[in-house]
Amino acid sequence: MRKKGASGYIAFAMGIGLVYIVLILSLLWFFQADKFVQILTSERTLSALKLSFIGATLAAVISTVVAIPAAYALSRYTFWFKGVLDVLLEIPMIVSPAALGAMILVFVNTDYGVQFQSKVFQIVFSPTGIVVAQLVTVMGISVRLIKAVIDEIPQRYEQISRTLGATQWVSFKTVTLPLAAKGILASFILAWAKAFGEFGATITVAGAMPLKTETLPTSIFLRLSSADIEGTVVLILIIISIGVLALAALRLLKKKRT
Amino acid sequence: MIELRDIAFEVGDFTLNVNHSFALNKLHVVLGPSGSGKTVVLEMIAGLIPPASGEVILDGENINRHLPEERQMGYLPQDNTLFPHLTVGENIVYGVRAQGRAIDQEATQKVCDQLKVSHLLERSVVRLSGGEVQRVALARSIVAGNKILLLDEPTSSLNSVLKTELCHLLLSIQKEFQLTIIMVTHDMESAYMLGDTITFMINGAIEQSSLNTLEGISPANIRVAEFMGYRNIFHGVVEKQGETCLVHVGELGNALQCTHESAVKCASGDEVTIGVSPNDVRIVLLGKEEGRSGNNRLECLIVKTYNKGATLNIHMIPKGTDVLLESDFPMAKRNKIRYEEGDEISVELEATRLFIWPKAN
Repeated sequence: MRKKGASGYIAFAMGIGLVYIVLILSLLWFFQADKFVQILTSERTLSALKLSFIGATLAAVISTVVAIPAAYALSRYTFWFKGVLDVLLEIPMIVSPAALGAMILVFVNTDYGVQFQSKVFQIVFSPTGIVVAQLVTVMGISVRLIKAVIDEIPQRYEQISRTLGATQWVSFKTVTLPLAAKGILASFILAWAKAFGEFGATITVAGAMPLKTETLPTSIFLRLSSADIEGTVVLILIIISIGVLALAALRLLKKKRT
Repeated sequence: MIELRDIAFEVGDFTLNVNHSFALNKLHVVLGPSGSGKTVVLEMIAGLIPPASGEVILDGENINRHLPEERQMGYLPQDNTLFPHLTVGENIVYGVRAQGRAIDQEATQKVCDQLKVSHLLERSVVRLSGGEVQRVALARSIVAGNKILLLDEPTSSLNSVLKTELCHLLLSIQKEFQLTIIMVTHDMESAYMLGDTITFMINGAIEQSSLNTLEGISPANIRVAEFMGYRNIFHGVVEKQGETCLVHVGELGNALQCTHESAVKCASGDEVTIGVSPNDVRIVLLGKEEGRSGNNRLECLIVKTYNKGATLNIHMIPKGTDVLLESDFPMAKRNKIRYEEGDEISVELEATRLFIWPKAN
């Protein structure tokens, strides 16, 4: 039900929406159907799509897996440096992705980084670099989102399960995790979408080698650099479609939660 | 025996200090106003919060370091804590599964039948009524093998019919399954209905613990009296008369006779506080003075009346004073007599129910 005096506020919301609608519609100005199919099915685009998809999926899976226990600790316990940790987790949100990528590059140039690259795996200019860059970008966000989900689950449930004979681990596994499942899945989708669209850190760490480390956002940048507007539009439409699908999945999930 | 020895814990603006024990296989009620630390005591016994100092002892063993799952004590908090992702049936067998034990179908069915939840097993917990939630939570705790149940205000969200039903159920399961139940509440009615013992806890301190007998509970001090609803409280000086005493109450300009056992310990000249429940301020009906001693008679002017359903709460001022006196007059006894503001009535303070406490208390 619309309340009196709401129209002013709604006008602002509509105005913001209009900005994005204009931006999306302007893409159609340069849209060419025949070029769409040609670029979409090209080896380079498919490779970029595949790399983006695999990188984002790996980064989202790893970040979700490590974020669950971390978020649980931040939600349930009080410990030393918790406040400092809270600030550190905000870093991906306040530091530009290019700076984050540069920080990874600086690290691999230290003695520890050199050792790491030679003994564990190669980061710079390699497909693993894509995953590392995306992971660093989304990990803090995953912890934040999952912590919010766990915060919403009353600790009473865990306490009661303990008085029913469940150990802390069994209580976590059988009560907290199932209750948080949909929220965790929603956080995974958001992390995945963020990682999929990640550009700054990825290009800084992994570079932009076609068919090797070129992701979809990197492709957009490269095509734009070479003044290929029609090609850029096609890639933007692909990335928007994927993003919208992810958001639709998220909305569906939220609807089910309520 | 569950013993709380020298327990201390900071609760808001007071420190909880408890030395108390609860016998096993009994139903104990801890009664006190909201915010007096009752829930904290239950959580400490359950192992959910550690005492700042002191010991929780079960059958002679200090269990301070035992984890909640090692104590075999079921805790039922005030809020609904049935697991919302599980059905009623899955909730009931949760404890057995969590402990990795096989489900004893026969025993589980017996508990479900006793608690009248057998027909709810397939249902989602979000579709249960308040009474059903309490019954399922009790069944879940008993099926998990807990022989000690810690209940936090189980009747607070129930209407009077459901409250009575739950009280009857608690009495029957306590006997049937040989349970030790410690229940905290601020509801005097359910406390009297259930408790083998009633312990009064006010501002973090155990003020009194008594067996719940038909004779009723004599408040041990003014704090308990106030909690029990003794709103007629005065100060006076004792004049000893054998086993009983006369208390000269300056503010009433009168002397009140006290024949309650609390008078025995008094000596002449003692400064005391006296209290009488509104239930024991009896209206002397015209022509019905039989059985009345004539003592403690006060002529009063009614200043306000409140209909409380079963009783009529009458606020009055004894003539020649500015003291407010309250009487709860049973509606059944009204016999078409109307009591209204401005009426003059005669009341008698029941000498056997007039309690005396040292003034310092």
